[in-house]
Amino acid sequence: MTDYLWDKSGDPDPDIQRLERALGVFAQPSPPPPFDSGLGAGPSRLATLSAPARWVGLALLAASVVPTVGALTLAVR
Amino acid sequence: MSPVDPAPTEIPRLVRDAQRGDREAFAQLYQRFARMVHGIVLARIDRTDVDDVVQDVFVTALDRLGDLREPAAFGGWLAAIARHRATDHCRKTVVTDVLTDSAASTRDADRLEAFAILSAVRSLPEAYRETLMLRLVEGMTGAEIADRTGLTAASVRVNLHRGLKLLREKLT
Repeated sequence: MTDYLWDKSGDPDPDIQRLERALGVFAQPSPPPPFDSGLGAGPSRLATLSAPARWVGLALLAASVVPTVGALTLAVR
Repeated sequence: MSPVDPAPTEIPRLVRDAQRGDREAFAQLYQRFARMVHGIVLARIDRTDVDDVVQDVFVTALDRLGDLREPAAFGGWLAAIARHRATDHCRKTVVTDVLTDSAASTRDADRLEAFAILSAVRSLPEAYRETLMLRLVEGMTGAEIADRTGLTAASVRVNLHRGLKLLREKLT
């Protein structure tokens, strides 16, 4: 094996250099993007739900709000 | 080795500090191992999803860091998490880089060549694919690959040698 493949030392191998140039566009940027541990800003729990689950959640929320509002309205009268 | 990388002997200390809740220590581990995780994940999934999965790997590592008993084994442990998460992601999605990327519809010969080579690397057996990604995409040396993944230098040499031979055969 050429040293160039192992540690880029020695005479450069033109074929390996071609592969490096072509594939280098997919490399991790340096420095890497900031680490997001999920403890800070991020998508809300609701946003991470699937669409059907989101609708069920909203329906349950509405079902709990309507009776409460109705009861409060009656109480005020 | 990039300037942000601490010396290899610092890894166990950083891991122990991170296990005690030192977020800065974990941030340094992230800086050092992000390239390795990126290469391992890119070897398996669509590149448009890679950044999200890389973050997910480190979130998982942070959650489970207390389970790691041997701090010096952090690299291999993290690599295993990366492989697992990428494989799990792969089950839910289809790799479509070459078929759907906008570059594929352009006349940009360099970009098309890059996608063709990426596709050829991904078609290699797992060990070769991963090691070649770390060497040819992420620009790591053989010694760095061994140091970070926990593989022996001899294994990395074999993977590079056989992987490159197979890749050349696929590209001719």
